[in-house]
Amino acid sequence: MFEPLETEQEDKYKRFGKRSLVFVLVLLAMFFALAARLFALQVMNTSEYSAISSRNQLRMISQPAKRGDIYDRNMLKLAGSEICFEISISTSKEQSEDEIKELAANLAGYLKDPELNAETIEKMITGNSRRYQPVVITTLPAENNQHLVASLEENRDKLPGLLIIETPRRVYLQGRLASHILGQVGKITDSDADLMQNYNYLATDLVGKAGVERTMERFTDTDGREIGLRGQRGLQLLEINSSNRIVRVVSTQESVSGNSLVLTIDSDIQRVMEESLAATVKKLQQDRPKAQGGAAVLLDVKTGAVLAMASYPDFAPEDFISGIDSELAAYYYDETLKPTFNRAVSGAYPVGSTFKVSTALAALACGAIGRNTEILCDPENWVNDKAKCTGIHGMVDLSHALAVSCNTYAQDAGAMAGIDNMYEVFRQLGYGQLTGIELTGETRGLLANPDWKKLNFKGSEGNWYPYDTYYMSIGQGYSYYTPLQMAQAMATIANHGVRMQPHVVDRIIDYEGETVYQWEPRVMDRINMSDESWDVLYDALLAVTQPGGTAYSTFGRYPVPVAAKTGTAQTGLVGDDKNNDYHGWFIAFAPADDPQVAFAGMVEYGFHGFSSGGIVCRDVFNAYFGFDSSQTSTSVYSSVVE
Amino acid sequence: MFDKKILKNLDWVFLLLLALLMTFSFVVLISASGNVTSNPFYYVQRQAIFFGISLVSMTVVALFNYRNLASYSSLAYVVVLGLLVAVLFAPHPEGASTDANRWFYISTYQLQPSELAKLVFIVVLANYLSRRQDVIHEWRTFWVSLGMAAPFMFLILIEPDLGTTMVFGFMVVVMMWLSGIPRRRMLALLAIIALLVGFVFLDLWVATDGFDHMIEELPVPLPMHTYQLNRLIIFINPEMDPLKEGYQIIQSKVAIGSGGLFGKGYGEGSQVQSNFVPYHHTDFIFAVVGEELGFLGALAVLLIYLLLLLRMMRIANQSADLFGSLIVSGIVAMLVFQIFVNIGMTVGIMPITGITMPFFSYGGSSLLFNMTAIGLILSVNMRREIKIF
Repeated sequence: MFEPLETEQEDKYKRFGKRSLVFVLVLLAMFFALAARLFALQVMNTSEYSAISSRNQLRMISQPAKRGDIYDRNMLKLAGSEICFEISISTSKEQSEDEIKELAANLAGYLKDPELNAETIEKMITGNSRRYQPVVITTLPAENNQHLVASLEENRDKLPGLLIIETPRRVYLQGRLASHILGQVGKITDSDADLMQNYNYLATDLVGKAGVERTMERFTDTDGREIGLRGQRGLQLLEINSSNRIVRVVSTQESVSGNSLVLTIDSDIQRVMEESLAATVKKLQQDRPKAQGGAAVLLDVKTGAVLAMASYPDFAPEDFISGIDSELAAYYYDETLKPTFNRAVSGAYPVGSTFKVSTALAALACGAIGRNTEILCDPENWVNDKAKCTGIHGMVDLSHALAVSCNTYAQDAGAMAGIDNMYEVFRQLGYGQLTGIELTGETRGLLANPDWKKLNFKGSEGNWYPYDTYYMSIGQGYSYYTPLQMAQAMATIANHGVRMQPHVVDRIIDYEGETVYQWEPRVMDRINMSDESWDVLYDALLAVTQPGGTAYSTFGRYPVPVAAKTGTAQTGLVGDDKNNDYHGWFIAFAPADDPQVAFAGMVEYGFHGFSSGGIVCRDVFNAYFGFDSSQTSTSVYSSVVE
Repeated sequence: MFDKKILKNLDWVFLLLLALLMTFSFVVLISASGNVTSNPFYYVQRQAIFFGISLVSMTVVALFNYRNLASYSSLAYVVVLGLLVAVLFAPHPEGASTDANRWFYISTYQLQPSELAKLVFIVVLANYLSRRQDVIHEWRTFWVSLGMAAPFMFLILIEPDLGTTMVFGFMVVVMMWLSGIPRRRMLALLAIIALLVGFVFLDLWVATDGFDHMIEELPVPLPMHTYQLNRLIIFINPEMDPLKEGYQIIQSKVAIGSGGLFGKGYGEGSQVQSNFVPYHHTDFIFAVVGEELGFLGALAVLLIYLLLLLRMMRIANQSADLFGSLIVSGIVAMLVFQIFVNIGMTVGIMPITGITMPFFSYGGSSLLFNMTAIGLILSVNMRREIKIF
């Protein structure tokens, strides 16, 4: 084939050829250097390195640290660790089948566990694909098993490769109590495999998976010290001989226990809240089969400390340690019940009429309404797509409006304040933002405003219409909030507009009980408003529990004055019946004249607020104030329509 | 655009060598990564997925005519520069090390833009140098070539990623040399680099009293953290800090040395299988080869690498134009340097710099971009007959 010959170009081509030859020589030299070095290491000096390598016949056995305990505010232990003995076998290739059979038979003889017969043990040993790792045969609690372990130790010669390691096991002493706050621990899975590289975990370690077990796992203070629950693993260096049997313990580096947590939770109140919530949901379920879940929160209004927080259905944290069977799995992975889902922080819902409190605050704060502002609740005022009211209330002021939960008043007050003023106050109350509580899975919820609508809808559907303000004012429309946000808003109102960050961890203590870290209450925001306006709002909230108010049945003749608001919220979910499927909400603080605690509670599809969250609230307040429930239960139940 | 006839040009020996290398690599990875997580096949499965994606990328690039890349080169240069700046500010997810800003984190994956930068830079510099052939003797060409590399090298150096910066340096020198920059200038450049390196090591030699202990006080301060400098010189005498910085090198040398002529047997390396050698499925995977397969196994890996690289140089020499030649030889420079530094690190003759072993170390980005580089080579290879110098 004829190729056009252009001398200049050909020169360049030749030059590349020549110069590439030089490069190839450099490349060969580099490979030669590597090969020479390998020759030096592997052929000339291999005996030296083999000697070091055989000295390296050490096994590093990790000793898990004792995980820190978790206490409630009264130092009642919620989570702790129990010492167990982990019985493992480390084998070698040189052991014959018969030897392993014999070993398995011997071990089964000592363990006397019907589920661990010789055959099973043999299968466990031979089935181990990684023979450099010992096979864990069983884990025995130290209590009641001291004799067994001693006899295993004595008969080591019949049990070659036997390894007994003391290992702590997580126990939750109060069972299911506060399960959503505590969370659970579990084995490292593929999804958190990076923990091993970055934080020195081993594949066999248990790590916190949810709740404070997770968020406090490796808590680091401002000095960068890690003072969380996990502690520091100990290392035992074992020397093994060529056939992989343990010759002696070379060194033991003791593990360092993790630090313990003292929570802000009060177990007595927590227990009452959980039991009351469960009983309320079950009772409502008889008439309303969809009512299957709920949540409640009780906050200290001055500090933001969570005194109790419940989510129903709940779970037993211990179930997740040893792996769950199919029956439990069916319960835990039920798509509707979602027992591990912490509804108090992860569930966001429309909140209905309970939101009118926030609307009233916003309208008062910007001066749109005052004590004497009256609005006409009458069909002639239900124009411009305003939602109808449940009754025709005539001329109403704020106090009357909240007592009877008047839709017209709330909508007009909202419109008078205007969406921008309202949005500002709602934001200050913490709606639509993470509270930053030390729990997993918290959701922001959604606080809608014109900017949000423009971003999320096309064309004219993105405009903010008057009815958007109306619906928002009565807790419907696009927005949804978490029970914790509702409790936070109520606490902020009770605290004269100072929003405290909700938190569940009070302090971290070391094994001697010394405090190594103390949480300080943190102010998140302040709403400035005249004392007179606060009083107007407080009076209106108090009117809700007075005769004629929607929560009179709940707190009518209660020993301390209670400020409250009920809510019956359209779920806004596709497939729900608009006239029958409502979430029942209840928010409150008490005592109304000197607030200490704020409550928010809800039952999914619970319908009325007073008969769902309201009942839980009364039980919880009884527990908090130390009242006997028989004294405070009222008989005026049926007389009030919400 | 794609002419099926050019498939006849495919270098089958090259592809066969590549297939051999990848098979070898997976066999080694199965043994190397089995004891890392509770699922012994976790890393192998992921690497297999990465390899599948990489094959697609390789094929797509191979079918694309590399000459058309020239017109994208300025744009690609700017985009990659942007990515290298962006990665310095990329957020670290919870649980990730914050020592370095090398990665973009996307769900459980990490993307290293400097991997992409290497390939893009090869194409950009090859384009520039092949177009400047008429004025290759001018100083301007010399300075512009260096100037094009400088921002990349600087951004990668401050991530910090000294290893990849060194790869760039090597690539630039090799490509400038092959493009015909006058010999004296290249010698002067190499002399300056040698002087700089020599000066740094002299500085460090004094600071460590002849590499007897870790750095105390530098006679001349250097713009790097002490821990980085310690890592740079620990290979010279790992006994300076045998339990921390020197630990990996000592254990890796013991693993490879104790492997002897024939090795301890596949899956039987006591050093790697009992986790004495850290990172034995990523950076130190060569220790697995050395310990379990011995000198012969290690030589076999070197030989396959060498044959593959020589075959690449053959493709470079047969290329229809200088642009193609320079692309291929730039890739060869990149690979040979990484192989040398990585294996050199495991046997204690090169510093620990975090450079992975091409096609062997576990890791998605590096496999993806190395296979993409193979795609570029194939693209040049298939279009060799149309000589348009």
